[in-house]
Amino acid sequence: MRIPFRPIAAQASWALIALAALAHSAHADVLDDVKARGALKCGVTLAAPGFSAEDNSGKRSGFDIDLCRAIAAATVGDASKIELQPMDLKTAFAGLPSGAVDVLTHRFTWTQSRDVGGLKFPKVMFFDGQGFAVTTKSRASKIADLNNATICTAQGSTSELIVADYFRARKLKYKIVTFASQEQAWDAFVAKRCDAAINDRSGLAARLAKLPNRDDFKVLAETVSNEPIGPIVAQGQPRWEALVRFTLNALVAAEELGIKQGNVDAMLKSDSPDVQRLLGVTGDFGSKLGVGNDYAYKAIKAVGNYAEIWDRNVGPKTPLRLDRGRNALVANGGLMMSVPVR
Amino acid sequence: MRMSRAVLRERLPGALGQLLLLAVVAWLAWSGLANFLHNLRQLHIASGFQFLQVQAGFEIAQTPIPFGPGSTYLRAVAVAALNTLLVVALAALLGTLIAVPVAFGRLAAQALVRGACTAWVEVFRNIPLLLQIFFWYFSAIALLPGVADSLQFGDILLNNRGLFLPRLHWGDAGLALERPVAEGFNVSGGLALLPELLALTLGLAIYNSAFLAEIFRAGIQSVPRGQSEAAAAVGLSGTRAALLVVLPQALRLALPPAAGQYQALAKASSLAAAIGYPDIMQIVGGTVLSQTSQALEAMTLVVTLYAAINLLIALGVNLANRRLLRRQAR
Repeated sequence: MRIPFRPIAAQASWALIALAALAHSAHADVLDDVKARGALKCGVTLAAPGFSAEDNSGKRSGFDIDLCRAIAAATVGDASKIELQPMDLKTAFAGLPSGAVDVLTHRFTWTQSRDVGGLKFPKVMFFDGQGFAVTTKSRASKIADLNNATICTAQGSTSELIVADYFRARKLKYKIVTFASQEQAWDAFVAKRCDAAINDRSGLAARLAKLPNRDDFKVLAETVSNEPIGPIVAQGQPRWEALVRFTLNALVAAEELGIKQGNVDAMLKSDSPDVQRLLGVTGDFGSKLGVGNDYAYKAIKAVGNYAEIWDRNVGPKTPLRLDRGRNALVANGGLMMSVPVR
Repeated sequence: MRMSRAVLRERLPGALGQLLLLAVVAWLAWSGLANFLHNLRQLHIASGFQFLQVQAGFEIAQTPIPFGPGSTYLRAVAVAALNTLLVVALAALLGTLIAVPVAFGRLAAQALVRGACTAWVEVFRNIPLLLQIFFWYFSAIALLPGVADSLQFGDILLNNRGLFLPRLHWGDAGLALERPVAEGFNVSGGLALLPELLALTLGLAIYNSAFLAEIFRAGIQSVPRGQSEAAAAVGLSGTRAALLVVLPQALRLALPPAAGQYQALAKASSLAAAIGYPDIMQIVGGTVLSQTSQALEAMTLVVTLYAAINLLIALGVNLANRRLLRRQAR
């Protein structure tokens, strides 16, 4: 039995952060802070295989970590200059505005209330949707079968509201048990406290990949929501927000232009004006962002393009076995595209 | 006049010092608050308690008063407070019921009884409460059967969705007994006690029973031996002597420290968030906080509610204590 001690630590750190918010005034400019510090502080998910998880040697890696590394490479020129801070929803949303971290490379959905509530989402890097996991033996084969079922989820998550809205709209009854974190909600579901667990499909895939008895569980086919997910910065930091946006944008643009981690040096000599502008061979796109003109080169050199990040962490050859699906490039029928670098 | 001037001269430095300290504290509090409000404005986070009238939009697992996604945040706060009161009341009652026999058992003549009661106190007093709560919660879920294979005792159902009791219900045919029935995913009808409530009640009651037993034992030992000997001399049985003669006198000494223990129990009930029991910390400090982003307001509510509950406990115990003293003075 795994005993999660996290909530107490989380509450303690929440209190500390609240105190910090009282003591310090909102900082002036995050970009200047990061450059002066020479390191980037990222708030990340505690344990989501493929996105942010520690290996046996204690090294944290994954999709979200690569995004943090890319931003560090673009800002301070070194992808290894990162400080990762595992956070749950409460500590993350209180910690970002108070300056405990510079950016959340986390699994939080972009919503209207979060956007106007002080959190800015520079670019969607993962188009997800919520689904329900049930046991293979469950009588439920579609969501409508879950009438009267008990559902486990994390408090304050979009899932909690999605369940409420979805079941209410269809006049279905349900019971909900909400935990301090998604990890605890999942543990309780696996322990059979609930008939179903709701989470992003990527999150369900990550958690199923960890189970020794993963064949005892299945994910219902319906997707009940749109979940645009991407890094988050605090409101009121336009320079920092732009830098994060166009660093992430460069990773997608690199895939569109065929620039990879392995060929980025050769690409510096490319004749394509698009490639030249992105890599900073021509133009002053970097210095207008407040960093070197080679910011995109450094980010791509550190983590590769969007496709390489996907395949390395969550792709078909990883335990998560996720297809690109909605996250394919627009050219391939998906939703992922870059803003023109011009 | 000369006297008072001398007194003034003696007291003035102290009074000035206190005034200065008060000014510094007030300035710190004021600048902290002003800074906080300034930061909130800069981050465009709303402040104030207007959000309490807004529709909450979420469900709560256990609702002593009617509640749905259409209800307001204020009602969610009320539900959370009632849930905390319920678990504190149940745990305090059960903990006391366990503690009294354990306290007498610690002083029993029989070595076996004494040993068992000592073991109870030492084991449960020395294991962290959070661990005990997890133990009861996960063992309850793991050991209990699913809804389809519910354990049945008469009209009572027990499964991994909780303990279901029959309840009296005003129906069309007047007062009727409503029996819980297992159907589909869940049990319908009757009174449901969630596994979270059961685990938290058990954890809080057993942990605090160990401390309460020691407090009661100290009280019992403070009663002169002559009292129980006199009770035996007038022909009272051992149990009657303990309950009618020794316990009332023991309570006089035991009640004030017991009050502190009941307050500790009430505060420790906030560990509910760890196992998903919808209490004040879980609903107000969790869901309401993260949905409204109004951390200061939500945490102020949490602090106020816990302070109010503990003041209520102190008031209750003080009243009981005063009654006890008055009766014994007679």
